[in-house]
Amino acid sequence: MDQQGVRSGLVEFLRTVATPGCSLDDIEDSINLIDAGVIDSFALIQVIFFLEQNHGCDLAALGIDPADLGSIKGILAAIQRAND
Amino acid sequence: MLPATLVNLHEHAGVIARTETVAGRILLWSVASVMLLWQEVTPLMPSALALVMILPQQRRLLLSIVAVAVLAEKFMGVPGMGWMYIAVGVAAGIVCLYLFFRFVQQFERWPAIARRHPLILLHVGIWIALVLSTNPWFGVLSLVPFMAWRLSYMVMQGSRGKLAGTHFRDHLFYLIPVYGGTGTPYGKGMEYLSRHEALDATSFARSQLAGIKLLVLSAVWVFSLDLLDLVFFGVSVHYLTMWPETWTLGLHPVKQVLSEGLYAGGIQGWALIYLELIRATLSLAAKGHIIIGCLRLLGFNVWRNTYKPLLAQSILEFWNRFYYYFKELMVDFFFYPTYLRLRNMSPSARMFTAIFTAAFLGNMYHHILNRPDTLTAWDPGLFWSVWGPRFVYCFLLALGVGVSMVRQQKLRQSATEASRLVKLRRIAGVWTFYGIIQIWNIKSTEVGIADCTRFFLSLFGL
Repeated sequence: MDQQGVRSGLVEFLRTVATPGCSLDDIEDSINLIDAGVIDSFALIQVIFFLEQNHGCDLAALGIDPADLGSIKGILAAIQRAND
Repeated sequence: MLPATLVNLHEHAGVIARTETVAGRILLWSVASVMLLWQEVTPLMPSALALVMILPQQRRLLLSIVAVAVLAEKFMGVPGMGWMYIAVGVAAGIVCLYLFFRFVQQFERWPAIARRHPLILLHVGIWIALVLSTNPWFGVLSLVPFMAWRLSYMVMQGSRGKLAGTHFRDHLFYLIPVYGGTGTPYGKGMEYLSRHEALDATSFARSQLAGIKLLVLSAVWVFSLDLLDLVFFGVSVHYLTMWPETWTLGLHPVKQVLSEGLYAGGIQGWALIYLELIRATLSLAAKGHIIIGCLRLLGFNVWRNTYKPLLAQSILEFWNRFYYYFKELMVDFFFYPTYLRLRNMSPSARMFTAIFTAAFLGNMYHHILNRPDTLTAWDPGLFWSVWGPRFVYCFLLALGVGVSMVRQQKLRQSATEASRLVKLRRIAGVWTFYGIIQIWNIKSTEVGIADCTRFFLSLFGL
């Protein structure tokens, strides 16, 4: 899957765990989604689960901290590292 | 209802622009100082605020200098401590913290086993310090419980390689915060505070207005709490002394009911547990708003500690909104590490294990860390009398949060909007759950598990 496809799939998934009423349309990739109130720290667990199931990311093995998954950019970087 | 402009004053462009003027800044500082002193915040806070408003670019350095005064202030509270001891104590404290910072900054050079488990190593050190603190020569170590999690955030940041390029002044101000706090680090550590730091005049003004808003809200909650205590319990408080003595329902607070065996039962019993939940929420919100209000005034526009928990529609949501920085602490240091290590478990078992590690084990550990005397006294009777009910509370909390988390995932997948009636029913369910478990969270050594359970059963006429 190309980078754009990965991003689209991720944003589509994030919509399902986002706080009701929060839109992802105008969110820049570098914005911290937790700080912006789009997701909470428990929704981040679902992001981790999504990464493990769909992209084979083992965060502990890759040495990635959950705090680094706060933004779309951070999540895409984690996927990239898992694929490398 | 208040007009939206008033409620969202900190987002109003015109108000923000006026706050950026000299006159606006003087007015803001004056209003903030009066409110802070009325709320009995340390007199150092208005001074720190003035310094930061004059030189916002030097915020961290100025707050670190004030931190030294805050430490001295803490020592001054110790009876019989002369100025010489205070000076030596402060100097020793700052030197220890500096050496610790330098040590963590060189994380890459730590032995491999220490690098694998840096937080366990830190907490072993903390408990050694706590045992030593019983010796008067090491009295300064009694500050360790207050700093334990703040130091933990520093170590966590160091282990991620994010301390490089930072200075001691970037850390001292949250280790000894002029904005106050408890063993729970409001505003977490430097990494979180940096993300919320106002770097330009407009963001600073917005942050400060948001801080003023929280101070006002805190005053409203303090007044509401006093009114509630007077109307329902006849407890006379400082702000409402003119209240007629006969205008009270004369109920007994849950703590008194439990310690004196005044089991009310029926409707009165249920009313008491809901009232206790409201009291706990108002009390925590009032205290937290002052601390977060101070942080915002200083230019760190962080999230509130308490945000409308009584409107939460799930147990999980309530836990997230009730005591945000405590929940974050549990999630950062217990939930994530456990969850990430258990990849081979089934999703539900993995989630439940992580939740229990955070809401039960982590929760208990945090509270014991703040009362180390109950452990270092080596008296099982004392330990159980202090913590027995809380074990039940934490167990029930973890169970509730775990079940709620699994349910929330299913609800998110269905993504259908609930009717108003359904929302009300959910809110009532959350109130009932937290009202009931709060029974085992009453802080009193006179109350045991049996007293709490008896009161709980009396709610059902048993």
